Amino acid sequence: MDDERLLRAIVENEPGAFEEFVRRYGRRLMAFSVRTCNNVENAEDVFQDTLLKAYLALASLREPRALRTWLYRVAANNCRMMRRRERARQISLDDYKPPGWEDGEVIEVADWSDLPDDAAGRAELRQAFEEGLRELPAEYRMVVLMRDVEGLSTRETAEALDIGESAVKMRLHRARMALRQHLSEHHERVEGAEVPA
Amino acid sequence: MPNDVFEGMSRAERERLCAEVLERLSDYVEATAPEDFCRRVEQQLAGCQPFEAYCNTLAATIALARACDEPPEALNERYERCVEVVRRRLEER
Repeated sequence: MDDERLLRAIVENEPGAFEEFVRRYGRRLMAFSVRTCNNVENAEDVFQDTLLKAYLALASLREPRALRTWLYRVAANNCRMMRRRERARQISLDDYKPPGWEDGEVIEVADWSDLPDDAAGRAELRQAFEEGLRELPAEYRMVVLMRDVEGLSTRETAEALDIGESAVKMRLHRARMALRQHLSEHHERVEGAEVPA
Repeated sequence: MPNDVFEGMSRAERERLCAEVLERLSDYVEATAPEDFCRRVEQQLAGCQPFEAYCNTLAATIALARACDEPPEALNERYERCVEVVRRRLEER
């Protein structure tokens, strides 16, 4: 069933329409809410509210192709409402310059891009990634989640967050640099722990 | 990094190059940067260990992000409970 058919089933209140809607988008919206809110209880509220609001308002959606973008827009707005008291924080690329690069010094940068083969190593790295994600300012985190995790395009992400495409690109890049830095620090800790005393 | 990467460049030129590369590294890694930029970077930074390590680890970071598309399994029970709450609220309407 494609989104157009799903929308028709919802509008016509067909049996099983809600189940199909949840099967298709539920887990992804829950994951997005948990990662965006940084708090499971808040995320549950955001997820329930998004699911309910979206399902009830779907009949008014004119463009079925925009369904996915629209759902993330509803979820992002709910998350923002939940976090509106937090102070916005900006990420500066100056924090991620390789040491000594501008001075023309020769300083080696660790290349940890060969990801671990074993399940335990991969799980640990994934955990480190999730930690890095939690440390990002919310507006940057939402861009990474939409673009890299959920696979929305730059234009869809801009529409969902009601910002310009250049802002999406800028936030995505800075967020990735911050995540890369977090993973590098994780790598240093792991490598340091493996060196015998 | 070979010592000659920055040879002949003033501090201002090095800073400009560094800032431009940092700003466009995502585009470079994803092959969406303009061709002339890529060509210039490859000419100027070929064999530069920090640059290559940065590119490789940024690409690995993006790959990790793209691989984490499901909520942690520990949330399954909460997820089912949330869906049930919404289903009941819809039925009550």
